[in-house]
This record gives sequence, C-alpha cells and structure tokens, in this order.
Amino acid sequence: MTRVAATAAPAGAVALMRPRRTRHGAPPREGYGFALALLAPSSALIGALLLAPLVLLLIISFKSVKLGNIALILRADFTWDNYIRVLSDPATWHSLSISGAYILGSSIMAFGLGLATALILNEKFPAQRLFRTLMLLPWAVPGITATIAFLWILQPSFGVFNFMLRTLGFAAQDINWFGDSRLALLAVIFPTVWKTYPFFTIMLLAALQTIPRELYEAASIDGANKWRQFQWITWPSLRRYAIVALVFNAMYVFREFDFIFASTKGGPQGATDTIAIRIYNLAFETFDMAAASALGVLTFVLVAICVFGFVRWQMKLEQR
Amino acid sequence: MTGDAGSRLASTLRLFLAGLLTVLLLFPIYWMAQTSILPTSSILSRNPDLVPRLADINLSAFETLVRQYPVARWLMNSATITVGSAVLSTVCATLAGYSLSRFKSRTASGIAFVLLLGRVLPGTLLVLPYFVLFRWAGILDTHTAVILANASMIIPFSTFMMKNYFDDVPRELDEAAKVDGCSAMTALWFVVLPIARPGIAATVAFAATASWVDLLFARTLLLSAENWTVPVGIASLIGEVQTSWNQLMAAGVLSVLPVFAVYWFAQPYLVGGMTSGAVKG
Repeated sequence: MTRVAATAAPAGAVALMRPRRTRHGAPPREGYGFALALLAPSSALIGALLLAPLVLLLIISFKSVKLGNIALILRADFTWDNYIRVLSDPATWHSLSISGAYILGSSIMAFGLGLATALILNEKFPAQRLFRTLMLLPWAVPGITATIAFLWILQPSFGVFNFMLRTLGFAAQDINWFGDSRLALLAVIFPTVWKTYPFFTIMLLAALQTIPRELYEAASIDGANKWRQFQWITWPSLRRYAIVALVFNAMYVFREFDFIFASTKGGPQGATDTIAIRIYNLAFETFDMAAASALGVLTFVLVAICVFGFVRWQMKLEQR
Repeated sequence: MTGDAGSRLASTLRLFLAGLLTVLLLFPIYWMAQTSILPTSSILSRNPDLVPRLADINLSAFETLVRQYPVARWLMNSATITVGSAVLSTVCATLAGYSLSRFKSRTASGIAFVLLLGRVLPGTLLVLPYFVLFRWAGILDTHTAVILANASMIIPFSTFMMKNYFDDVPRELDEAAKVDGCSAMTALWFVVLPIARPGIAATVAFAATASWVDLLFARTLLLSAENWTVPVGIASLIGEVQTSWNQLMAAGVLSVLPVFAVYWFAQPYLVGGMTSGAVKG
C-alpha cells in the first residue's frame, strides 16, 4: 500500500507525507499520551521539588538578604556580594580540602573492606547466604544509630576501643577521638566506612560472579598462584565496576550529613567541616542563607562538571 | 581423594575466615545491643567485659528511656513519614519506570536526565530552598513536608530501579494483552504489575529504609518536638547530661529493629535492585 502511494503520488505529496511516516515508524504512537501520563506524577514532583528549589537557590544566591520569606527575598537587590564573600573566605577552601580528605580516606578503607568481603563471599562454604545477609547488615543501619554506636565505642574514658588499645599496649593514655582536632576526621571516617562498605561488597560481588570459573582452573593448571590469579584474572575484570562503585560512593560521601552533624557538627576547630556541613551551618546555625546558597550553587556546578566528565568518559569506554 | 579432603579443609577455612570477619564487622551492633541491656553501674567501667555477665542483664535502660522521653511518639511519627514516603515514591517510580522502559521519546530522555541530576544533589543543598518554599506553602513543621522532601530524594533512584526491572519483563507480554483487547492501562495493571511484584517490593523496601533513616530533612523541617522522628529524637539525646549511654544505645536498638526486619525479608530483592540501579542507571 505505502509503495503504491509513494509511486503514484506526485513528489510534493511524498515530501508532505514523510514526517508522518517516520512518526508511524516510531514505537506505538497511540501510546505517547499514555507514556506522558505515566511520567506526570514524577515530573510534577521533580519539577516542584528539584527544579523549582534549584531556581530559588540561584535567586537567593544573588540577593542582598540573609534570610526571610519569599516576598522579601524577591524584592531584595541584585548583588555579586555573596559569591565574593564565599570565594574570598579561606574557610571555603579549607572545607573543600576537608571534603576531599574525607572522601579519599573513607573510600579507600570502605573499598578495602568491600573487596575483602566480596572475595570471601564469592567462594563456596557452608551457610554462605546467612553470612552475606550479616555482612551487608550495616547498610540498613540508620546513620544516626551508627554514629551513636561509634561515639560510645570511641568514648575516651569508658569506650571499648580505648580499652582494647590500653590492654594491648598501643596507647598509654585515653585518646579523645572526636574531640582532638588532629583525630576528629579519622573518627568520623570510622562510622562512614562501616556504613558504606556493604555497597562495595554488593557491587564487587556482582562483578566477581561474572568471571567464569574455568579461567581460574586454567590458570592454576598453568601454575599461577592465588596472588597471580588475582592480578591477572580477578582485578582486570573488577576494575571497571570498581571505578563506577568508587565514583558513586564518592558522590554519596560528598553529600554525607548524618555522621558529622550528629558527632562533631564540623568541629573541633573546623577539622570535620566538609562542604555539605558548611552549607548547612551557614544557613541554619549562622542564618546567612545567601552565603549558603552561593556556596550551594558553586557546589552544584562542581558536582555537575564531575558527573558530566564521568558520563562522557564512561560512554567513551563503552564505545571502545 | 586427597583433593576431596583438601577442598573440605579449604571450605572449613573459608567458613572460619568469614565468621571472623563477620564478628569484627558486626561488633558495633553487638556492642550497642549489649550496652543497652546493662545497668549504668556496669557500663561505666575502665575494664568493660566483652561478654556481659548474665546476672547484670536487665531492661532498665529501656524503661527509663521510655519514661523520660516520648519514644512512642517518635516511633509513630517515623512510621507515618515512612509509610507516606514509601507509598508516594513507589507509585511515582513504578509509573515513571514503566514509561521510561517502554516508550522512548525526547521528553522521556529529558526527564531521565533530570532524574539523574536528582541522584547527585546533596540534601544539604536542597534543604535550604525547601525551608523557604515550605514556609511559603504553609507546610513547614508538618509530616507532609518531610514526606515530599524524602520522595524527591528517593524517586530519582527508585525510578531507575523500576525501569531496569521492567526492562527484564518481556515486551511481548504487554503486546499480547493489547491484542487480546486490553487497553494500555489494564495491560499494565493486570499483566505487567503482577509480574513486577518483586521489583515493587524492592522499591518499597528501599524507599521505606531511606525515609526511616532520614535525619537531615526531619531535623530541619520539623520544628516542634512533638513532630520529631526517631533519628531527630536520638540526635537530641546526644550530649544530654541526664541521658546515660545505655539509654542512648537502647534508643539505637529501637531504631534498627524495624529496618532489620524489613532487610531480612527484602534483602535478595534489594541487592539486585541496588546493583542494577547503580550500574545501569
């Protein structure tokens, strides 16, 4: 039918028909309205709760008003002052370095634990499923609960960790983990690692299970020991998953709030003052919403650039 | 024969190693639980017992906690917010996930991009404009505000969980249903959704866990103490002079019991959903 129409009709008519035909070629056209209707509730929520807040954040960041209701904010004068204040404040750059150290420190440790647990869980032994459930358990623990557990374990005088250090002879006196500005970052890294390692376990275990067992059998026939097998077979297949997991974890840790807010609130002497905590404290402790918004917008730009770069890099890898 | 004995030995060795690692990793939970069932006199010790003495065990910390603080109220508030957020985000994520899985269009990919954006935004960044917006809308200091805020964090993630799940449900099923005279909506409701039940269960479990553990939104958007959730309540106990460590740990135990129950049953689904949501997302 179409062919007949195409040959019979004058050239102009074919040109007119072309767009319609390509539309018909696309998956069920009658479903288009339905597809949009299904997306409507999410779109409305995301529009009202993601896009509108971001626009408002941008507006506040350019207004010379510290806090107030919407009408007051919209009426205030335009200014660059908030950005100048934030960028010229050494505390901003300090926070950026703290965020970097926090992400790096917790990712390395969480990755190590995740890899160890994943390697064990990938082997065959009795009651393996039970062990998997137990090893992933910290993932389900609320951040605030993990924090109080570690506050208690690391408590200077009665904490069990200092007791163990004393008993084993590693420490002569009590260590004030959360109160010492040299140790506080390490102290908040502990609960962070404990809650985030199961994510690495899950991701790396999924990757390990894609490696065919025959590879290992062949390698051991060739005389490769366990370490060589890891180096030549396991790690090359894990690497891509590992990088994806590390990036996702870095984003999660970058936005982390619970552990630090509940334990040190960014102190002592700014030792745990990450960007996420700084934005919060600027807005809700010092009530300088404009500076907080400016810092928020800058953070958003930074995150967007990182994510964009990561996605581009992933797509390039996939094409290869 | 020697190979058989060798593999049995290796498997026993692995079991031992796994057990050791599990004990080390779960120590914080164990220590919290054992502190919560001991009296104050025995926990304030420079040389704590790693295994509690049976004679010491009592539930006085729980009793004092419940007597001194409105714990039941916190649990009720948390339950309300959790159910609200889970229902709202699962409905939205299921519909949107199905749409993104079955129909490709420019609008859809635009929405998918915005959803991806939502997954990387720090909550502390969003809670600022929420505070201003919700005050303007008159819902500041209500559970609705926290439910909406939670949903905005959960939907971007769970939509992709559901999309990946629907991708594995063969398209031919919906088409067969349509040939049999079903409308698109009835095909979704009676044919696709029943098959997708494990995926929906995973999404509900994920959403419920995420909102149960939320501290940031509840702490910022709920101003009056009678609206507080369990995490906000626990945060308020830290550093309180009259709260002793065993009471704090008792509050911690109460906060993990519901999530452990959910996790125990939903774990197989959750693990699959988490990896696919992260990798393919």
